[in-house]
Amino acid sequence: MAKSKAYKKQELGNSQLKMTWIKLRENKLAVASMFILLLVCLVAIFAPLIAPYDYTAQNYDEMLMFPCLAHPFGTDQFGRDILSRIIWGSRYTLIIGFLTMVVSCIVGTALGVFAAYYPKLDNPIMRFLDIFSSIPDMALLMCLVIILGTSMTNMIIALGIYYVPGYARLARAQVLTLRDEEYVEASRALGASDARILLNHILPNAMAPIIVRFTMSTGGCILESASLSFIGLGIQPPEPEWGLMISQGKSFLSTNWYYSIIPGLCIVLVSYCLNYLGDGLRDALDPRLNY
Amino acid sequence: MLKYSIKRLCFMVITLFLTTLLVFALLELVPGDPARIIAGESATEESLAAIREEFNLNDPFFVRFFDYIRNLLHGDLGISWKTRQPIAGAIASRLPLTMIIAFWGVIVGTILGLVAGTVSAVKQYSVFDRVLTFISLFGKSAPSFWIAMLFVLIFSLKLGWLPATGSYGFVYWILPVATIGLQASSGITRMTRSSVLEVIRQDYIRTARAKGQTELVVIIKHALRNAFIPILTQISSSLTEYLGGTVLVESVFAIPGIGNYVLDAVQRQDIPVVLSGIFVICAMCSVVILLTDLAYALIDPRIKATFGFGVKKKKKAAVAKEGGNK
Amino acid sequence: MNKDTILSVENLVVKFFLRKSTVEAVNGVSFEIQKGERVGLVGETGAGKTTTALSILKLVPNPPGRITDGNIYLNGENLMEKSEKDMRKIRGNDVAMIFQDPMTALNPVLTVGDQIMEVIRLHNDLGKFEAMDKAKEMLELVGIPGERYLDYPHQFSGGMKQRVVIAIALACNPKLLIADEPTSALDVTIQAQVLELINNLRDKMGMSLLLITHDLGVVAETCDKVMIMYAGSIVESGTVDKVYRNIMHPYTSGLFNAIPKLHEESDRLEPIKGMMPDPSDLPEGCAFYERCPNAVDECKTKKPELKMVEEDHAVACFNPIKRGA
Repeated sequence: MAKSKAYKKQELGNSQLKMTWIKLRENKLAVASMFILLLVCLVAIFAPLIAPYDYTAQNYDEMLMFPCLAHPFGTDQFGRDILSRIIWGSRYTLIIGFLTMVVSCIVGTALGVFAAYYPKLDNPIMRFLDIFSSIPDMALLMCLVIILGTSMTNMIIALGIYYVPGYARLARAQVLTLRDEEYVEASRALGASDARILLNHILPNAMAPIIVRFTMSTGGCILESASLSFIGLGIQPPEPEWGLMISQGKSFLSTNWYYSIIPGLCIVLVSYCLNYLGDGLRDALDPRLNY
Repeated sequence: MLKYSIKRLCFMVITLFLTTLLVFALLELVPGDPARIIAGESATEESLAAIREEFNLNDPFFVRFFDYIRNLLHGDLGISWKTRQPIAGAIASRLPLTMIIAFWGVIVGTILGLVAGTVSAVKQYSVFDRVLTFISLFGKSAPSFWIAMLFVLIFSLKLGWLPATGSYGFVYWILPVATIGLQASSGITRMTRSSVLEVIRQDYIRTARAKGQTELVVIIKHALRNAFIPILTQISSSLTEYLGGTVLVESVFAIPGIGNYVLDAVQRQDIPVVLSGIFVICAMCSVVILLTDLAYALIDPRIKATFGFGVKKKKKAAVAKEGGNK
Repeated sequence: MNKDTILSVENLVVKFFLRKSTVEAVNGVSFEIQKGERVGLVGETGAGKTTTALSILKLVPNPPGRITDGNIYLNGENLMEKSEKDMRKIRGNDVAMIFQDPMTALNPVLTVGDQIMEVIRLHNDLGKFEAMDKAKEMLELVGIPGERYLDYPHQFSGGMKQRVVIAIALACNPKLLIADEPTSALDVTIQAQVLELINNLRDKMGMSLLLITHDLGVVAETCDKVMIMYAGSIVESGTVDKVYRNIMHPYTSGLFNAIPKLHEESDRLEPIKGMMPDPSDLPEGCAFYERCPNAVDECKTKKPELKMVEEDHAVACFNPIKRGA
């Protein structure tokens, strides 16, 4: 009995991806989150088909209408349908969140790997990043926005810069630990080149914590981007960005609460799902990982 | 301990200096002619030249940077381009508000987070634990300005208990503090939970139980103190985050704090205000980080041992060796 | 049970309820310890020794562990009926425990003095300064200078830490001392010292001792009685004299054969083949069946009970080793 169990485990162990998926599947919240996120992605992709109205169409006959059958989430002060605007706005949220993470993940990991592999570069790179991360997030972002100006690309660059040090530190720590593992020593002893060791042995094993960080930081990044738009330093009107919609609804809070509360709920939903998925991934990839 | 403190202090000053240099250099990159920003679009060439002279804009980068540092050391934070008023005075009148809101918010968050995190660690996997995890993730997932608006909607507009905006005394600070408290507590709850979970599996917790100690004392005296280093890191990073990030809450509640001041300056491209505002925020954060570092040494004797008293340590090591070989 | 019996464990069953399986850690263990008696509990890692010991203090981590059956009598009082509050009065006072790893058994952020004083003040009505004096006294007793009272655990070596743990355990003069592999985490040279210290102090203070170990040699030196545990059950027990001279259970014999003997010419040790069965998936019959050289058909389907084979010697086996065989 015991033997057959052990065999089974070994068979599954052949593919780390499969194993992770099996463990992740046990976590119902994480799976549900993943489905919700997929749904949001689909909504963003098919926004033109799904949105019941044109998100820019103003209708002065239907200004500030409370949620009703024709407008499930109501209308704003120009009579634009809030549901349609939220559906289109999901594109901003997802694109900013995802692209920022891709940019900062690639740049940060590369910097971290360089720092770990070339001791001469280690101190200059890491100290420079330390100084960057010693500035509180909103202060740094405001500083970057004043230089870059407000546009979606610039916002992605600013947020990307803000997230680089975290990835660099994580990647550096991973490489430094993995570099001394026996199997890496072994392949070095066999005469493998630095690049080969890095690509074949170290990076694949360093991926787990980086993936988890990616998932969780995307949630944080969506909040930051909404915050920037909220204080007028991000996406500019009349675009239907969620943070911006909350900001616009602020003046109507006493009369039309749904205007800013509903876009906020959407942010919460997406960010919740990313966090739960991140938690689930962390447990599935390695329960001992601790953030 | 003294040596350790001095070392940390030097480290702090150097970091702060380099941070200022970085921000100063970054703000050089702001597009547009500073003189034109100051004087406005319609200014003549002569008045632009006069302004360049007045604000020393013609000097090379490092001359201006060291002028700025020299003025900083004299407590002079520069002059606003737009209002032509000294920045130090404006910041001094706004700083206390930001500090009150950030500090009290984090204190409230710490109390909530410590209690909630400990309880959910001790009752791991219980319904209580799950509910708390859900709530704390809410704090992490919801934007602070949105939580603030939710509070305004509920407590000011619907219930009418508290004022919605402004800053004229204690009652006006309750909602901002509650907003920051709720958000800060989410991180602290999560960190406390995972840290306490790690610690209560340790052998010394079992030793304490085997002594016949009550569960409450075991948790507070033995577990929490050992779990506190990562929790303290979390508290400190929340504090630095909110010292720099009250701008979101300030803008919802229309509080004239330092965040709103800098935000205004960013929108009007008032570079000296942005520079000095960020400098003050960074300086406060550096102090918080310094105090955290010192607190680590107070909490954990092992950290103190790596720095403290050279001579005494050697003597003790010798005693330990003798005892061990007996 | 006579009045000299200090501890009596009857049919103790402890299970750990995990998400997917139930681990049967202790399966119906019964034994007695008399006043002043020294009992060794021997078995390999995972046999349920520590769980048995923790059950006596009712400190089995719950969840996931639970004592599902059995009674434990301490001085004739049933511990299973005691409230948590009453148990706290017993822990550290009547029954004290020394843990396996001194490196982790002490709280790193409290001074050793504080940690000794804690147990003294919990069970004695002493003021702070009296308790402090008593704690210093305890330190001296285990061979550590009293002035090291204010030192932290990281300033001590492994052996010294174990001395502190012993000082904590003995501070309230317990009637029963449980020592859970007190030396296995220490250097070989320190092991003998610590063992000697425990032994001397036991003689001085006259308490009963339950010594958990996997070292049969230590038991021979220290104990009056021995119990061999395998997969949560006691398979052989008796006085050290009787058991060591007349090994009856194949598992006990296997343990002895795995010890190198200097006076015998032998090229290699004889390890016990195979591994202990998964405690979440115990076989129906004897747990040792698959590894047993003496196994008979009966062993596969029926679980052997612990039966007296001679005075002060019991064995749980259908086909025990015959003397001289």
